[in-house]
Amino acid sequence: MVELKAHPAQARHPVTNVALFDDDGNPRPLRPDLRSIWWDSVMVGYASKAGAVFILEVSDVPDWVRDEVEELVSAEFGECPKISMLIDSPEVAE
Amino acid sequence: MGINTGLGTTGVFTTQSLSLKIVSMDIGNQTLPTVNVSTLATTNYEQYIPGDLSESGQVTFECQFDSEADQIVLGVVDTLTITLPLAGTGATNATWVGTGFITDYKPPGFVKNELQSHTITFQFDGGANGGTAPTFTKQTT
Repeated sequence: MVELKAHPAQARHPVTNVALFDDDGNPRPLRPDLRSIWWDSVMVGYASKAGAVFILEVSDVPDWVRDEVEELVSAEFGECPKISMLIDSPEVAE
Repeated sequence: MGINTGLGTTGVFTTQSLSLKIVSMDIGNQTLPTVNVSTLATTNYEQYIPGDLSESGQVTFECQFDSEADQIVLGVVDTLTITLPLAGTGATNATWVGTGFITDYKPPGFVKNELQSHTITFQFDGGANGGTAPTFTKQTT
């Protein structure tokens, strides 16, 4: 399953620098404008209004994952202008 | 406990949608100046108090060069997310996140029998103009 979650960076109090939590005990996101991309419970990238950025190599991202991410980012931000991935290692590059 | 090697660490510029194929990364130093408070009545040692503002540091990346990627742009404010590899039974990776801009770019050299690599230097902006000061978030289980 592919899904978007809050960006994992946690906000801190601007004066005391103490990590911030909401009333339910969940971390308050440092950057509410960013998301993280999860594929089967593993974080595989980040997303914003600028698009999606995988932290996986091109050959590790199946087309269906890329397509689902594009749909999720478009639904979240209105569009997905760009999708980036890591270049493949030289030994597998075509 | 979350000890680990550097293998698996990634760096992403969100605004440029740029994912770097990193060979090595130096996250730089956060440094705090010192203020000398010694007087003529001071004895034995110089005395110091902490300064007010820390330098947020520069990050240097050495990366494999992707000839199909867009040109690196200097001076554009971007968000850098450095994602640390999961250690042990962690569920969510630790991150370093902050806004800043690329201040120095060394394009690849071209030498036979060597991979093309380029070097990028990113200056954290310390949260200027509504940005995000460099912030470390620990791994969660």
